[in-house]
Parts: sequence; C-alpha cells; structure tokens
Amino acid sequence: MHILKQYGYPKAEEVLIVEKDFEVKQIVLVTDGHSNTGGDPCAAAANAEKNGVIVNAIGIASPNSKGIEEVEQIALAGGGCHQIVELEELASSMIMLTQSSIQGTIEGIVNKQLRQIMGKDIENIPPNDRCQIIDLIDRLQDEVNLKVVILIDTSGSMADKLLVAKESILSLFKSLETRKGKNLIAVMGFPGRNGRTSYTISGFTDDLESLKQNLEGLRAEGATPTALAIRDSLNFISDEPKGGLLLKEQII
Amino acid sequence: MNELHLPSGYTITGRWSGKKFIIIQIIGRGGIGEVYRAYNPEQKEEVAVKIGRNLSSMTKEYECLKMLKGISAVPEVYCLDDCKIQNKTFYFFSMEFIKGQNLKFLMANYNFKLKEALYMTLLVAALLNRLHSFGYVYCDLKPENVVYNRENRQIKLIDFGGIVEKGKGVKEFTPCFDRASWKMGSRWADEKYDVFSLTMFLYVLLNGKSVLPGDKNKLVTMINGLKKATPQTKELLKKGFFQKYNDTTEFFCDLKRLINKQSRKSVLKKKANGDMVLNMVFLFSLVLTSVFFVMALKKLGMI
Repeated sequence: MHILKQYGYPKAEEVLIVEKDFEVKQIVLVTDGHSNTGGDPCAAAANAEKNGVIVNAIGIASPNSKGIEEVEQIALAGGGCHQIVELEELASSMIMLTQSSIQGTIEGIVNKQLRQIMGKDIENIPPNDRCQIIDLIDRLQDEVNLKVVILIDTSGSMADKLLVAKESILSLFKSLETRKGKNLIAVMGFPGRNGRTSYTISGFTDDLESLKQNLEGLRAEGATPTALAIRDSLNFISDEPKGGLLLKEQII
Repeated sequence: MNELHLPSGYTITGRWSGKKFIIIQIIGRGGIGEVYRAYNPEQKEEVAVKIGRNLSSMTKEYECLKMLKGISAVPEVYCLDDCKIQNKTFYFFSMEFIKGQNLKFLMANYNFKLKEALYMTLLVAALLNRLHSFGYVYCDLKPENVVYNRENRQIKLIDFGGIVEKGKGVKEFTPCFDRASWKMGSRWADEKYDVFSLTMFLYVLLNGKSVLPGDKNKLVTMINGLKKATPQTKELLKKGFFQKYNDTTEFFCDLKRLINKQSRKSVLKKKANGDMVLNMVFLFSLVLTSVFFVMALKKLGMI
C-alpha cells in the first residue's frame, strides 16, 4: 500500500483498527404490502438509523400487493438497502442485504479513518492501490459481531408465504454461520396479538435448533402497522433503548 | 437494485485510465452488477465491461481473474477503473468479450443429448478442478455461467463474482444449485460444494430446466424421473447429490469412465450392426450366384 507508505505508514493494518467488540446492528423488514395503521414507517426507520441500527427492507411482490414501493422509502430512511423480490428469491435477498449492510458499515468506518489519515477516502485512491484496504474491509466484515432482527409481516396476506419465509430465515442463518464473528438472530412478527403492535417469535440466538423450534410459532393474521413494529424492534435490538451509538472506531 | 440500463452508444470514461468504452448492449445482470458488450475505440476491439456499485466485490473479482490468467476457460481481464454516471460513482473492469451462447439460452432452444450433457459436464469438471488447485471454489455454477462457442467448440466460465477461497463462506449462490438450500450441507466453500452444483448442472442439462429446491426425497424422485439418463448416469447423479465424491477429481474420473464405457458400447453396437449388414450382403450374393449358376446350367441344357 504505497500511498500509506508515502505518508509514513508501512502497513495499512497498523493504522486502520476497529475496536474489537463492536457489533453491527440491523433490522431486516419483510413485508408484502404497505403499512396501513400506526404512523409513518419512514420516520420510525430514520429514528432507528439515528440510534445506530440499520433498517433494510424487502418487499415480496405478489399480484395483490399494493404500495410495495414503500419499502424503498423505509430503507432509504433507515440507511439500509431494499429489494422487491419474488417469493422464491426471499432467502437470497435476505442474505444479500444483511451482508451488504455489514460491508457498508465497515466501509464507512474505514473511510472515516482514511480521511483522517490521508485526507481522502478509498474512492479517491487509485484502483490498483486499493487491494490492501479492501482485504482489510473484507476481513473486518467477516470478524465483526452481528445482531439482526428479522421483522416479518405476519398480517393476513402473508399466510401463504410464511413457510418460505421460515425456510429463508434458516437459510440466512446458514450463510451467517460461515462468518468468524458472532451472529445473534432474533425474529419478530407484526402485528402482535391482543392489541399489541408486534410480538417476539424468537429471541436473540446463535443456535440453529432453538431458532428452528421458535419459528414454529410463525402464524399470520391482522393488519400491517409497520411503523410501530420498527419502533418495537429498535427497542428490542438496542441494549439502551435511547441511543448509545454502537459503532466505535479508534486509531492507534 | 441500482439497475443501470445504459443505452447503446453511451460512453463511459475511466476516471483513472482515461479509457473510453462505448456501450453496445447489455449481456447480463447479476447480483453485484451488469455486464455490457462494449467497444474500445482506442484498441479498436470489442470487450465486455462489468459495472456495479460495490467497490469491494468489483475489485476482488478483477484481482481474482487476474490471478487465474492463463486458464483458457477463464476470461482475460484488462483494466479496472471507476466512472461517474448520473453523479454516482460506479466501479468497472473490462475483459475479453466471449463469443457464444450461455447454456441456459442454448437449453431453451435445444435438447441436450445424454452424450453431449455428459461431455459438457466433464469439461466443466476439469475446469473446476483447475480452480480448486489454485485454492478457489467457484460456488455459483449454473448453465447461465457457462458459455459455449460453436465455432471453436470451447467453453468458458463467465461471472466470477461468487468465487471464494477454500474454507470461506459462500458469497453468491442460486438456490437450485446450492446444497444448503437442499439441506444437503453447509454454505462453507469446499470442493464438495462445487461437486453438488456440478451434479445439479448435469441434472438440469438433462432435465431441460432448473428446479426449485426441496429435500433428499425430491432429489431421488428427480433422478428416477429422468428419461434420458442410463442407470450408470443415475448412479453418478445420486453419488454427486449425496456428497459421496470428496472432490472434483473423483467426480471427473467417474464421469470419464462412464463416457468411455458408453462410447465403447456404441462403437461395439455399430460394429455389430455393420457385421450383420456384411453377412446379409454376402448371403444375398451367394444366393444370387447360385441362382445364376443354376440358370446357366439350364440354358446349356445340362439339366
């Protein structure tokens, strides 16, 4: 990495250090329609992002799904990515979005440090000199701890899609388990029962068997209060509900 | 997500190299970007340009292809660069434009014969074996990613976006060809991962279309339902799906044996048929001669 050498840094790794026990937190929203009760989901997503939690959104396209474009706005506000997919692509999409949010977060941290060290981010380093930094991003992406809430729309229209959704969550688990970092996955459904906005299907776990067991509780009924549900999962994912930024970076 | 839809005639200019590429048409769209057929006016040649928003994956794919340079079935890469389109930065690299048709396209218009499917799979097996010897697992094998050129009868693999070092996690996959989606193993990239995809590749060539993943029982039903396959081919598919091959070499050897046996059998059959025809001709001529002989004798009044 000769540019860093010019600046007196022999190795990129010595200057780009990310604190070891930080974690990437994200919510993956899965829905087949637009929110129809309980406020603005974009505002809720923006609030999550402000609290250091990325919101990704997946829309499942079906002939009777209306207002599915809403997922784009939600993801935009939540600092994440979105995709509108066919039901069969749900698993691939979940994996793709989760991975690219991790990558995005790490890239953001590395870029911030590069700007401090060299006054420019990776984009402004010539392509052939980027390798070493990219290797580092790649490694950190693999090692960072991850906490993710799958927030799944279990309103009436999702009934025939939940079996695939269940398989997709298990598929996501199989992809994440190849990472070096710790993965905690929780699954929440919305709307909840008895007037609640959402309910926990599976608490945070890194165990496939208990996840499998908990997913048996996935059932569909009711309306679609997306905003309240995002708020609930933000509270669920945050250790301290009111803020406390989760990504710390440091230069040594 | 972030689909570009660059129109034909659009020119992209590399920020660092200054190289220009004039878009001809789109030839593929994948998880991390789009591939266009393009013209490089400076070199006066046609190239393929892969372009996308993800800096890491674009750079890594380029680096990997550079490393695998020299393997004939891997496209050669030329330059890695960035460009601005509608004020957003995109990352791209140019590479050899590969003539031919991908097998998914071919499959839609042509019914693979057993022999052809086996031979095609053998070629891909040899290629994967080569990649494995470099320490890589390809991971995203499917008919779309194999291009066949009728003119020189060669195949090439395209799209190396999913390739990873052995022992890492699989980055990109297609459920039908992914053993984890079939609950037949993990998503750790090992040689056996590619063997499963390769077996499915052969199955899909024979079946004529890909399938949605299911479980073990579905695999067995699928194999049994294949009309084109011989019992030996079915055995190979079964061993491939059930992870009985430890690496592509074992798969390759079994497949080669199968192909040899089958071609030997058909040669013998032809030979046998040929012998029969010869015998018939000989007999016929014998009868003719004797009739002629009898007639000649009659004419001479000897009988």
